[in-house]
Amino acid sequence: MITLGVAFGYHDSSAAIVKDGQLLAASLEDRFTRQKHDDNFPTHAIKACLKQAGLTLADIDEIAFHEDPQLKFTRILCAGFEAFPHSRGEFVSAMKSWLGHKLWAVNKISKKLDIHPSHIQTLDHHLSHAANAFCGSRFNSAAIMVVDAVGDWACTATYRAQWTEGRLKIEKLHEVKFPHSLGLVYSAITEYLGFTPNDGECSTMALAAFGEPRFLADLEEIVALKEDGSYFVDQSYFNFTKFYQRGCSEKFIERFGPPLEKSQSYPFSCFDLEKNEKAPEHLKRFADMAASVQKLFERHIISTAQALQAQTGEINLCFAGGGALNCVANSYLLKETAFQDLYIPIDPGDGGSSIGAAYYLNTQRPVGKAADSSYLPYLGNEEDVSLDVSMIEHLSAGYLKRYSKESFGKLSYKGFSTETCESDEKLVELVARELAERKIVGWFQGRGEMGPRALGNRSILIRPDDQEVALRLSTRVKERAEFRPYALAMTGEESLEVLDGDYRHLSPYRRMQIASTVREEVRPQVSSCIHVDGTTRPQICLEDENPRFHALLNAYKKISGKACLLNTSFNAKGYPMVGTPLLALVMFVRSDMDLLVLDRTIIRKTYETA
Amino acid sequence: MIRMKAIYSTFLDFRNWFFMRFLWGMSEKNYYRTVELFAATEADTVWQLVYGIDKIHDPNFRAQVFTQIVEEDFHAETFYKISRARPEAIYRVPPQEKEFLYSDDDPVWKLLAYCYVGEEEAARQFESIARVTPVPELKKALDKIVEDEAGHVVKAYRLLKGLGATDGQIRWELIKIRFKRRIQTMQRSLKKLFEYLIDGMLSVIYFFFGPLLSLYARKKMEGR
Repeated sequence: MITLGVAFGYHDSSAAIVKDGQLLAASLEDRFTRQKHDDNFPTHAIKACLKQAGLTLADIDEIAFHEDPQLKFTRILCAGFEAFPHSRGEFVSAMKSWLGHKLWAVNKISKKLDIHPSHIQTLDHHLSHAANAFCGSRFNSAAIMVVDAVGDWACTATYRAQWTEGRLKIEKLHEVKFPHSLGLVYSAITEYLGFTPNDGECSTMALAAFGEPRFLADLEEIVALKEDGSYFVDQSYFNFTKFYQRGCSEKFIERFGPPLEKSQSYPFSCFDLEKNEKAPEHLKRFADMAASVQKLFERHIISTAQALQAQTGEINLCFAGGGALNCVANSYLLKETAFQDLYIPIDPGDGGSSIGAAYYLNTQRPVGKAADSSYLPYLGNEEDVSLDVSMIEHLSAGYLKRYSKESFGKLSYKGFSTETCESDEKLVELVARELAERKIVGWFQGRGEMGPRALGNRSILIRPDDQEVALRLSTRVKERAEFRPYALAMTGEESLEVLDGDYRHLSPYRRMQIASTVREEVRPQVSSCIHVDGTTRPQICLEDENPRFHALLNAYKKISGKACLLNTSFNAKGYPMVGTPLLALVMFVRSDMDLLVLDRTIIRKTYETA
Repeated sequence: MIRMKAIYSTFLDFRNWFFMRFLWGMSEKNYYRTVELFAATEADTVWQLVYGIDKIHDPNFRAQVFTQIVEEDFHAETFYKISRARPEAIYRVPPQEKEFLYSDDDPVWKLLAYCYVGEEEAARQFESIARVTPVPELKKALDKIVEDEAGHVVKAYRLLKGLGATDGQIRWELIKIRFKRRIQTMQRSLKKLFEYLIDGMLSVIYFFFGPLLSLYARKKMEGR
């Protein structure tokens, strides 16, 4: 039985294919359309998944849609009319998109894929998240926690999952419904801090490390914790039902002061600590607010997880929903609760809900070995690079560099050279040498990663101990705020030296999903990847998970003594990760990247020698 | 023919002057919205070319189209930067459903012809806007983009022929494309008109059913 999972309509459209309990392929639509968080029908992701799985649409037996549009529509209607007569604009806009297409999602899928509607099933949105959380965990049974902005109605939900007679059974235990949403509180304050909601939450998390949680008591009054681990949000401080207005209400602003003016930016830096001391006082208030909402979030998810553990007695926890992207909060889930193992899916947000929907529907009939199945993050498209490599010698560097990013000025390269390696050993040896020579390397290999993390196939790499290069990466390649730290990739063996424990068996440590303290004595050797609080987001790379990237880490160790590299996603500001080698090349020629590695070919920029 | 072109150019100037002084003058948001739409159009051209280039296997022609992609990407970014220079006035074009303009069976030169016609028309528009815009940063960007477009037509013609199109085919295709683009412009205007109508209807529904439904909605929300 083959099930296609589809998610679209809000943000991060995606598709996934599950066959007899095994996930074959999954991809985000934005990798193909180059529109970050694209919410449109995932035409290109479906095509790519079918191609990758070696299937055609005719092979698909059933389709699972990640949410129940009718149920969600009741929530939209209630929210629209709740603020009557002040919500005409919101109502008109919501009705246009809902009556225009969102409500008829099943018909749209049927029409687009030429499949009879009887083969399409809709699922509760948080059930899709829950199934995504459990799929690939290898647990026989587990407690599941979903923390999201808002699904159909639920915002936070808990479940228990187990395999019964070869079928997956997921039982709902508790849910907190809209408008009481911890995720929306976090997003509203993200907006208050000057970032874009649904995108800038990671910036709020990063900014938190520069502040003190001095507003925590106030926020705890507004988002009150209940005895059962759930919570109640005082709605007078937020505009959750007036969804086209600012998330925080006038009352919130009266209490905490005005939001960040849009023209201002934060002077904090992970690289230049002096800048933090010199930061103006009025900006420290925002860092304190970020620290407060972060702490609030941590306390609430710990409390929910503790209640869930007490209720279920389970030792395994699966965590999904956008809240599971908060790697700092995740680090407390094993420390502060009785759970012994934690699994977070590779895309815990809405993008992964297509996986969950397909997996749940597919496993409602006995599916043999699915219970102990797992999957790697490399579920996306694999691309032939030969055509792009062959055109390199026909490119005019002098002409192309006129189009380097304006903020970088005119780049100084004068040409390109290519070198194709016959073996992986040769490739990693050459690239490791370039990394040691302070080069910024674009690394495009094999199948793309599903989800938001670049785990060694669509990555930009630099040496981890040179803050000057990291700063160049931030300002002249990624255009990224200096207060956002980078992740650290390392081999399993090296992780024992770098981190404060042996975490190789815990998957969140292999996928950059959890913050971890770096040993004091190692910090100078990985200084570009450490946040001001002494933590990093580790990617412990195991040889069987990504052999070529693992070999590169080891090759770098031979030169530098440490099997560690700074690893960040291959994308420019405002764009999703590159989906094709051609787009990787576009970014390469327009930015200050020195080297691009497409499969086994190294493309170098050549410079005028002094 | 030359006189016709001059008349058309004057008409464009007048139209752009009217839009900029009148609509942009009414609200700064209109100005940023227009520039954001320019950016989205350029970004769509990039996407179409990235999709279409897969069919080009000759490294030399591929390199030419790649160069075009880099240029268009730069133009899109230039417009984005201008449109987002004043964050409080930001209008963001929602992600568009991306559909390839031609079927997989169509020769790739047709797509390139389409893009070049679009570029040529856009360049003419930009040139006209640059003449009348009161916004210096937009004038500078438009001048640079128009300068980039100069010489493209000759290069494009050479590229299309290199990819197997004959003179007759190119001429006929360009006529079809221009006609198609006029129809698209008309459709967009009609859609906008239709949307105003829908807005009005929905507003009537909102105020008619609102008093009753708001009681139900508030009860449901309070119960949570």
